[in-house]
Amino acid sequence: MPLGSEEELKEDICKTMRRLFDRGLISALGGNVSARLPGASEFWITPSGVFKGELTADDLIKADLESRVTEGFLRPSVETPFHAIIYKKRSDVNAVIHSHNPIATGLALAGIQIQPVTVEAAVVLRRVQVVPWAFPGTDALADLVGKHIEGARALILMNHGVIGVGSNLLEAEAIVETLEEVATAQLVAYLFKKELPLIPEKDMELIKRLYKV
Amino acid sequence: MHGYMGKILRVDLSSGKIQVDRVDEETLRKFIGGVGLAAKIIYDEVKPEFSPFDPENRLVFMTGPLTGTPVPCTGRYVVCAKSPLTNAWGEAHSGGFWARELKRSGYDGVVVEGKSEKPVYLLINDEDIRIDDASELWGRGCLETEELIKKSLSGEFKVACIGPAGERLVSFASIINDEGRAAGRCGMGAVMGSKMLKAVVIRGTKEIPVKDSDRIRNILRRIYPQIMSFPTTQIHASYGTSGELLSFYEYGDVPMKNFALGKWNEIDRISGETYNAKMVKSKRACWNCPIACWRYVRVDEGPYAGLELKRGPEYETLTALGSLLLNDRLDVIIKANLLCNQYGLDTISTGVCIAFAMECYERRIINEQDAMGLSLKWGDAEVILKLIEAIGERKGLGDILAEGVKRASEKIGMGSEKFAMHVKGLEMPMHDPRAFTGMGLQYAISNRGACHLQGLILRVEQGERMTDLKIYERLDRFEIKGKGKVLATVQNWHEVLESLIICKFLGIPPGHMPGLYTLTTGIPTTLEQMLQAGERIYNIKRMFNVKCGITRKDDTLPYRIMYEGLSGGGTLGNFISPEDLNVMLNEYYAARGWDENGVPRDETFKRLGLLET
Repeated sequence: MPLGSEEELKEDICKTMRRLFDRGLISALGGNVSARLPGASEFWITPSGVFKGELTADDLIKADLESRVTEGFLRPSVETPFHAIIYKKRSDVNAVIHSHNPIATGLALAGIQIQPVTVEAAVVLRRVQVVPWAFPGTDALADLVGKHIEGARALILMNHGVIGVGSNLLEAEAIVETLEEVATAQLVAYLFKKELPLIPEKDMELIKRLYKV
Repeated sequence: MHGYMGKILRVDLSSGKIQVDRVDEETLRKFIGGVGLAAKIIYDEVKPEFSPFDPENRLVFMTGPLTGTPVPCTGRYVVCAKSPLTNAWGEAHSGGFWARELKRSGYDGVVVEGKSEKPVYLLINDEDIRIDDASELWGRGCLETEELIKKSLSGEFKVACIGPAGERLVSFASIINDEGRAAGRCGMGAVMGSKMLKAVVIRGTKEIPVKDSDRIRNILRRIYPQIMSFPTTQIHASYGTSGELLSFYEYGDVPMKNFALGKWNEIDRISGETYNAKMVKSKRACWNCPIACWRYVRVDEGPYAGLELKRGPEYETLTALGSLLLNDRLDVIIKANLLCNQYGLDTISTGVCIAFAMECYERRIINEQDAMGLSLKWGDAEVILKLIEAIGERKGLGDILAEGVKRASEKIGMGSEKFAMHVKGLEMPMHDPRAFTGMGLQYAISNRGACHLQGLILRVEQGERMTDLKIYERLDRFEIKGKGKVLATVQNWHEVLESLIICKFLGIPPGHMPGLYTLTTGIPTTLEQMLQAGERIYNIKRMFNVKCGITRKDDTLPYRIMYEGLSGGGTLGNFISPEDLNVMLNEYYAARGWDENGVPRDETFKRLGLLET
């Protein structure tokens, strides 16, 4: 993908938000998206508390890696600190999505680990860890996310939602979307059966050894 | 200039001179408006040796840059002066419609100085400004005064006025506007009375200039789902402020029997649920408010059947004239509220003074003879109503109580000082700090005396996180340590809210304010700059107090709070000992950059750009 301008990036953030909203992964009040131009030390993030289904580019806020606002009028997402910490720790990451995936979050509440029930689940998600509870918007939550984000593409936040990261917005969107797809399949399977028929070991050897899923 | 009208009206009642002052942008950047601008004016112009009733005392009515704009809950004003209760900083706030009218007349505020020889009222009809004779209105109640003034003028006017209590310089006289909204605290009505100013009457037709009102409306439309989901906003919308009464009671926060009782079986009889079910007929709102916490009430049965109040009792009134006096009759509370509104009396201070008198009587410090033949029994409806009248008329015991509970206890003596519930002379509001020790520090330190609104730290002690202000952790409500810095932060924020001016009941998070301010005024501002302005305003008020003689010795709490735990109830016997208070004060002073006597250090003043002030 060619490097775009900041204006394109902001438009893309809003498009991502709308798609996630339409899919029910981001709710009217819950969830946030950020992205940066590759290598940039600042990122654009969605505002807090503004109805998520109708965001426009001029609603976005620019923040630096210390979570300080450098541009924009609105209140930045309260989760700006964990977005910042992810960009700090992961130079490969240029987009962070925090969505409120109902089924993935629900499985974590029930103490059920995301399993590699499809090839995508294993390939796209790698191992999905659950971050223990910390109050939303706090430095404590940001620290916990920072501790779990190394080597991860997706995380589940206990009693809260999920995080997906990517080298661009589409990748991060694919992560949170796949996570919900897999979680839904797993939920349906659990409704009818206790033991999940996982993909045969011989078909998963490489992935399993690499990702330890 | 946007957001501001850029002009302040200055009226000298001694000479009759009326002039218009311009406000420069630099001053607005530093003090925002509202209480901040009022603090700057009073700090600069009111010398410490002036008594509150000196003609040289200033009475400053102020709106803020958000007043009357599309931002909701901005129909409020602040009125400030040197307070006759505390002989130091005084301020009171009120909602309604009057503030917007003042701004639409073309002025951000009105500064009243001097003293008229005869009763007058100030009439602001856009550019037509007059000081009119008010002899016919002198002696009349507030609601009646408003009605008479409106009848005598053609056009839609808004009225803020005093009643007989203000005229008689009752130390806790209020200013009443819009048929029963009250700027209650600190005796601002008495300062108005001392100037022989009966009312400020306004009609304004100007547009309030807003930099980008379309954008503001567009943003507001989309943040409503969040701000209306704020828990206290929901409760206030459903029940009014009384909706929190039972929840506060469970914490032991609701004062009963002059702060001497921990449990009261009758509390349900005055709860928000009972009040709304039995007395409330409809909901009303201040200008541009989606919450509508006012309650229109009517008494349907009993001796006061047919009694109506357009602005029914709020939480503070329900408790100050209810549980504090062991009065469980809502009809009596409503009647007492009406009397306070007519006389122009702060319901909180009135309740505390009556509770004090009842306890004096119970302890046989005073008897029937001292009390105009009344047996001052707890909960007695007749006693409550007669004492309100006596205070408003300054008759008998009422004349002593009219000085406020501090001076009344000094006059009565015999140990009554120990249960005179005030800080710096301002009567305690209806939140018992033994339920939330942070509130104890807040009462002890607040510039206007015992103030429940400047900080509202109890919200953090109830578990509210204010992540925008970097308050991430819940504070334990009985803990002593760790409260100083948090209190300073929330106080600074509240100075911002009172300067902008926006109602604290609206749950707009701090992070949205710089944007709303910037889009209103066109002055780019960050949250950090706003918080520093709040800190500046807090410090200038403190320095005014220091010049009036306030030091660490005054940052204290009533004896009862420091030495007496309550048996039963949600406080679990907690009290805030002098040692505990000292720990909190030390932490607080350090967080503020004040010395050990509570005086802002030079470097603090310098950092805040106040040295030249």
